Amino acid sequence: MNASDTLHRALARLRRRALSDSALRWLLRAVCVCAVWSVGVLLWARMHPEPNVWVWVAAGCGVCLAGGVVAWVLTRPALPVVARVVDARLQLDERLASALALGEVDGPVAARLQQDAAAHAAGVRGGAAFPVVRHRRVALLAAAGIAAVVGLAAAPNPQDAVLRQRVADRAAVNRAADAIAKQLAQVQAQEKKQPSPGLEALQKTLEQALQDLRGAQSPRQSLERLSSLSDALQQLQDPGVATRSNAEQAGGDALSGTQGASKLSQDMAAGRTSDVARDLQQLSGALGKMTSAQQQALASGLQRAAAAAQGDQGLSSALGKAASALQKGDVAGAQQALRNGSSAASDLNSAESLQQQIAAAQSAAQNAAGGAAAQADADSGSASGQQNGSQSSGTSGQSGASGQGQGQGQGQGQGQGQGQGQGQGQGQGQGQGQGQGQGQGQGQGQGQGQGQGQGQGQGQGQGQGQGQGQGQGQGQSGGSGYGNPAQGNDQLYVAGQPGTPDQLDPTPLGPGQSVPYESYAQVLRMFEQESLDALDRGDVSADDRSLIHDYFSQLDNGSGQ
Amino acid sequence: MTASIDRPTTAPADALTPDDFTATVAALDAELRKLIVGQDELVRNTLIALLAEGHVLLEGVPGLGKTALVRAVGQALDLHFSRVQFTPDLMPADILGTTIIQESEAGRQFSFQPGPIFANLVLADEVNRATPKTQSALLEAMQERTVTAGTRTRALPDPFFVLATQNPIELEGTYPLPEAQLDRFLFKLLVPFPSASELAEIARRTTGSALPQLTPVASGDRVRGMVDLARSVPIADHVVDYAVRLVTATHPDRTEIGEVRDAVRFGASPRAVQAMVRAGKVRALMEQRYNVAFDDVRAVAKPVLRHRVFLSFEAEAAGIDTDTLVDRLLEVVVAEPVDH
Repeated sequence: MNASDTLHRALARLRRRALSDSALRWLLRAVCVCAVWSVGVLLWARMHPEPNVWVWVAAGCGVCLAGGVVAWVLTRPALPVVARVVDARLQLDERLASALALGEVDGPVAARLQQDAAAHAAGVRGGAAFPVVRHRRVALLAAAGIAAVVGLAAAPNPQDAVLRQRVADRAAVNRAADAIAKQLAQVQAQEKKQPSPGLEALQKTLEQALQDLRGAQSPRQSLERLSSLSDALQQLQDPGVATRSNAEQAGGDALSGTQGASKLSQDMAAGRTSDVARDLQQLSGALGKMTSAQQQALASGLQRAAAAAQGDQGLSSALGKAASALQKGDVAGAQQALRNGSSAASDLNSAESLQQQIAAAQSAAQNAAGGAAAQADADSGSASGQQNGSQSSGTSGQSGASGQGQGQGQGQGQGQGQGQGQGQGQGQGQGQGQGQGQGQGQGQGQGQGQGQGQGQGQGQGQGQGQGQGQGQGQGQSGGSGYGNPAQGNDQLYVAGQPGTPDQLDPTPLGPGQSVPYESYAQVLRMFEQESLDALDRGDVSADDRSLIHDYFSQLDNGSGQ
Repeated sequence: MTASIDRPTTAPADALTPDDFTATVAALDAELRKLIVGQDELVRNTLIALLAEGHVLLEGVPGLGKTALVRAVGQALDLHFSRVQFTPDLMPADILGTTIIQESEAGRQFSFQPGPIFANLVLADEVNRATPKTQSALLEAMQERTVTAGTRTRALPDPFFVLATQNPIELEGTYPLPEAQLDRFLFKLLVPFPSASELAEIARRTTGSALPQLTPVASGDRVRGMVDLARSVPIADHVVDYAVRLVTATHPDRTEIGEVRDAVRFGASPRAVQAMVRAGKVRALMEQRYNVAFDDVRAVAKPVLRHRVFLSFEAEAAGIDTDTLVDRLLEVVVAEPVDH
């Protein structure tokens, strides 16, 4: 092996060491950049709620490390570079690089150079030329960066509470959507078995509501959309169905005791509408077998039933026509009339089924709204808990301000809430049920509704509820539709002392709004007292005193209204 | 009119090895030490210039041994030595030679009488005392190593070295060397004042009954061989690049160094790069190395650049000298950028 081979072999060995050294250098640099990136992301996450903070950290670190690998590949030192670096670091006076560049050239000096360089290169240790300690400073920086990342990761993040709340909000919104989706599935199944325009409309309503709920960003939005759904479902309801059902039951009661129609009368009285249709078909078929006396007795019973079932025009008309035909001995006409009555009963049965679906959907919407409202309340409590101090409710001077508005205005008023209730009545005939509905006021409003229901066992009713709503002009979910403008007897507030606990408005105010309020009536009273005291002390004529006394008397009367 | 060149042949130095080179240099140095006290760097740089085929301009106040050094070199190298004392009335023909009429059996005929320039080692003492016309007579001799008289161009002996001296403190009656003339000198060496101990040693050696006698240690052929051997020393591209970057950095319009931009009127010529490389090769062999290192370039940077970088008037008025600037260049210009 000549000197040139020895030199190349030694340089190849040093190059491997140089590659390792370069890899370590780029790794440490990449770690430093990763640490800086991670610290930046973690600091950002402390100022802004960021659920995917670790995803960002991992992505950034991945890019940094990949960049380090690319940089290492691109900057891998070639053999001449290694020779120059070794020359410089070990003070070899450019022997290796010169010999490498010279190659195998004849001549006494060239030969001596090759031998000299080979001898020097053979004695060079890789660790001496590329010592790990050279990376000490970068390694310390990387360690400091990692320590900073670990410290930031371990320290409590104030934004975690916000993130938890967001997760809970999202879960509440999803639960509401899932409830409606479940109801929609039931309607779709029913619609497949027994298509009807009503079911189709209900299905479309639920589909639209589900789409809206999926897009809701907060429980409050979800609540608003559920309220819209309730309104839409209410519009789908047909109040006449209950009347028709009542009429059918009344007809059944009137028909009771009629020979040959006992089962029909029982089913009608019990509200088993589907059985009623079948009973009427069977009765139509049995007419031919009845004696004349039986037909007359049945005609009489049908006549009473027709009179009692006036609430259902179709059924009443069919029963009346059947009674008339029987009285005339027109069996065929009576049979046709009873078949018409059967059709009317079937229609009523379908209508009742639709109303039940609507009622079930409303119930699901209300349950979902309950969950969303609970989460919205929790959010509100959490938000107010972050405020320092408390605010008393009051107005900035606008009486009867609408609950919907912009700015900082606040209003308090009574609103008309809407409630729906399900009630159960007992007894025969007319039953009354009471249900409690939930009215909705904006923000913290609560409403109570009383409903009346009629029916057997399960009644449906539409209730009206009185709700109290507090209108707040700030926020997207203003009180439009929920809180009515304040009435004339509303209490007015002016700045002064803090209000009573029941006057406290939990809605957080904006920065700089945390000022105490005092009742205007109280302030007016103090102003009146101060004025009258000053009047007694001053040199005021009797007429003028009387005039001022009258003025305050009028004010007292006015404020008492 | 075409000029022909007569170049004396010299014996090849095929047998010369790097070891011979260093041994000869060591012997030469030892011989010079017999007469020259101290001045280690001056002696060393003078030898580097000689072996790099360069001319040397020695600058120092009178009495520092400039002439003694040159004479000692001439004695130690067994070279044909001649001395020209430059004075204002010195004419070019007094240096180069002239054509005279000679009587012979064939009758009268013109013949060329070579001047003192026709020597291996020429001492141009107090070169700045001659007029520019006479100074210019040296231009061709120093660069081309030829002399043209009449219609003939005659080659000078090989090796041919000019060692000129000048006095920096005497300005009256002197003619500063023009830039083109200065550029012909490989080195400009400053002769420092000796230390007290060196002065005492000088007194002891030169005031006795007998002056030290020098023995020639190398012939002209030997010197020629050493010059050729030095030229064969390899230099890596990145070392050449360093020399180039150093020279480029002396140009005010090509450098980022503020001091150079402010103080320098003209930067060094391309001859500076050649000078650095040639001198660096000699120094490498003297260091018993077989390649030129950054250190070699750095070591010869000052003597190569100090007479090639021309300062502005403002810089000279501010007391800035070229050595300070070169120090700054060596500090700023990175030798091995790969390791940074």
